[in-house]
Amino acid sequence: MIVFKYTKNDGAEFISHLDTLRHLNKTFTRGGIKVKMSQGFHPHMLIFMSSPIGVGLKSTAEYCTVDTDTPPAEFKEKFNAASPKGIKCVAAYYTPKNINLASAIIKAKYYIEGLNVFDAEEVLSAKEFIVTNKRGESLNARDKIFSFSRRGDGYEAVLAAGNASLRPDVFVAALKERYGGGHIRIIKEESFVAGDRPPESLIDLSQEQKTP
Amino acid sequence: MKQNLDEILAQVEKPARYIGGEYNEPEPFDGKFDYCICFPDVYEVGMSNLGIKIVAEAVRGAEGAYVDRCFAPWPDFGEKLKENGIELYALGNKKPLKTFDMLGFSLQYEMSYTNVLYMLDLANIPLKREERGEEYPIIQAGGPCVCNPEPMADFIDIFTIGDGEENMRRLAELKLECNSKAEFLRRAAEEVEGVYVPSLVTVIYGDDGKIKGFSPDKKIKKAICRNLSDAVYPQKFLVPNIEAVFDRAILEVMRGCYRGCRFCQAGFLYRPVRERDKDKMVETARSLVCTSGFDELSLNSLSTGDYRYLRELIPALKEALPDVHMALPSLRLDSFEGDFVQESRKSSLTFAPEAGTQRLRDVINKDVTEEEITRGVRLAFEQGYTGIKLYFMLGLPTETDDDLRGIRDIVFKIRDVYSARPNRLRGLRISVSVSTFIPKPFTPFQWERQSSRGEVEAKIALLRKELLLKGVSLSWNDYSLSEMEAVFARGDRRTGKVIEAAYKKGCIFDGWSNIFKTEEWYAAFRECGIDPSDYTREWGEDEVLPWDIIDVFVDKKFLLKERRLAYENKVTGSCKSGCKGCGLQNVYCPVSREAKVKKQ
Repeated sequence: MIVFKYTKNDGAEFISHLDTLRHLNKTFTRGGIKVKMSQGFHPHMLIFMSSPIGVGLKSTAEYCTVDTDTPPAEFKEKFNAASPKGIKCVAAYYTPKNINLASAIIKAKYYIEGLNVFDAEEVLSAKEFIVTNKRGESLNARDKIFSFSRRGDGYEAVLAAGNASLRPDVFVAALKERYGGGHIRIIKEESFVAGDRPPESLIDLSQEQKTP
Repeated sequence: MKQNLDEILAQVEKPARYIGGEYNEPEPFDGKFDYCICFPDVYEVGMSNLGIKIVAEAVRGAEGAYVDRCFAPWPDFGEKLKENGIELYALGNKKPLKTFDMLGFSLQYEMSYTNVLYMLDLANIPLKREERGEEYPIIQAGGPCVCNPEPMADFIDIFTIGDGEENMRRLAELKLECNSKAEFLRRAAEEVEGVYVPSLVTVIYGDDGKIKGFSPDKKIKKAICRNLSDAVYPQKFLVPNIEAVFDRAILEVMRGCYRGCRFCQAGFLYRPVRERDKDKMVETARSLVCTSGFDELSLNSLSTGDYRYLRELIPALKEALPDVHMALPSLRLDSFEGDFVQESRKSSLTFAPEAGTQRLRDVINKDVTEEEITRGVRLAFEQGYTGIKLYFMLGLPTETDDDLRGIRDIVFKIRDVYSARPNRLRGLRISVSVSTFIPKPFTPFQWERQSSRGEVEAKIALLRKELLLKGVSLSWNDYSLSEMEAVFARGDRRTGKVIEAAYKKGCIFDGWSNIFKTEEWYAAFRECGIDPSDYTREWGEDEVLPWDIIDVFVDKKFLLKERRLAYENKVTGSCKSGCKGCGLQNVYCPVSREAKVKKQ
């Protein structure tokens, strides 16, 4: 199996999660990367994506596991030769088993541009941080904000990801309402598993790939 | 405060419709001739269309031609573009449509006409051709609907009738030779096959308001591509950013249809039948699949079961592309074989008997028998299908209530076939879908009237009662929509006013029944003093028809003969059983030529 890290930018940020899966499928076919199929009534490629990222949010840290015997270096080369604009493999690793990234990734770091200048401390020092989610409900998301600080012309935030996530666009919308801002740009820069470590730390690098 | 495009994209549904950059997109460049294909429907529909892909390929054959594409923005994005003063742009080079030399609209469906105006409007281009000077692109239109170009004649500078393989490249080359729009239009009309320039033709009306004739009285002959196998065909498809209606590679196995069903416009428009070379198609299929990554390949035509080399083509394709599912979307009932499937997922299979009784099927020249229907569904059940979709038309000429009750008989027969099967794991689902018959130009039924609203409602009420059965569902379409479709299929130049009035009242995406604005449409008709029933009535056989200016090489005499045979419940049958003399044999028809050679 291969775990790979890929980008979603340069237009690809506007492609939904499901459509991204379709593009991954086609990329493997075009690239000649043989992927194992599920055994079922409707066989499909064994591809395991990490949690969905909202449409319009750029990322340089998406992860995916795919059941193939293609070695990592070859995988990366073939993938990038056949992938659409903005969906590019940054790194690929061999893993003997599927590490469930969708549940393992619990935090993500974002870089946010376009908000007015304000004191970033205020966000973390408050007991409550009320956001309005996509269903229109107001809720306190303070416990899902792990860090928030000014960086360059923008801000850097580490927010909950995965099953109990705080969507960065929801978070930023609340900030924009409070402090003002213009055209917002959000980039997901890193993903983390438990212990604030990178997802790569789950891969047992001591395991050599057995030649199929 | 005005917003830029990126901000807008973040606020609309499916923004990937508007960003271009599809996989396989050719690198944009500044061409000597910049052409943008405009598809007056949403991205997912347009990206599935084969015709525009062929046209793009044809125009690219002209030296220095750049071809781009644009689809109708969904209303949410259209509004944002207007609000923020952003002009509609091409997806490849992102330049405003206004900067192109020519825009080519693909008219696939009458109810997309308001979307042509919508797209011109969003591009800040005046709607009427008379209001457009040299500074604006030339507005061209092609596709099946332009066989009657008149309803759109006030908006379009130049129509291209028939096959686009050769004449679209010629048009691009000619444009480079001309110094003005007027010169181009005049020379195109004289020198290029299948070109109709409405500004050069005047319609003459009689005192009774009916059309007396055209001046000059010279028919525009459609363009025919004689050798499809050697003609341009895309070897690469753009891979849609978001899932398109058909997410698959498409092979057009043949153009034209042997059958001649009397209601079917395509069956007459696309004559003569031309079959493609199977070996070349295998190569094309290989290229399409390898460059796109599609896992499904569709073999398209009006009646793929009639393609003579299907039995050789399918195994050859399976061998070349073992992992690809094959879809045969327009397989006729009588040609259905167990080893062919319509879709890769075996959920339901679609059959289109079109009429409930043998008598009425004879009237429409759909020579499918009840035995063939039951045989077809039996094979389908053996293949594991548990759902059957049936398509019928409502309001066909000579139709009676008995013909409608025949639909129930077919449903019962299908249920009997299913009940006779062992190991039925699931209950059988039959969905019956009926649509109102629309008399279309260039068919033997072009003179027929369309059933009135009251008649259609009564027919549906009867069917609802008859088909109140377990596992059977009935669906029908909106009468108003069918009525409008009939008006604009058969409309004359005066009906263009209605299209413009309706657009100004906010009518767009009329083919989407959830968006269709019935009240506004009828108000537009009233405002223009035009009565839809003037166009849905029966037309006299000696009347000048609005589309008489166009010649698709099917003789009017042949159509009249077919109409009489229909009233006598007589079938004409397929061209395969011998040349029926429709008129194409005098121009170009490989089928008739072959038959002649055999006879000798």
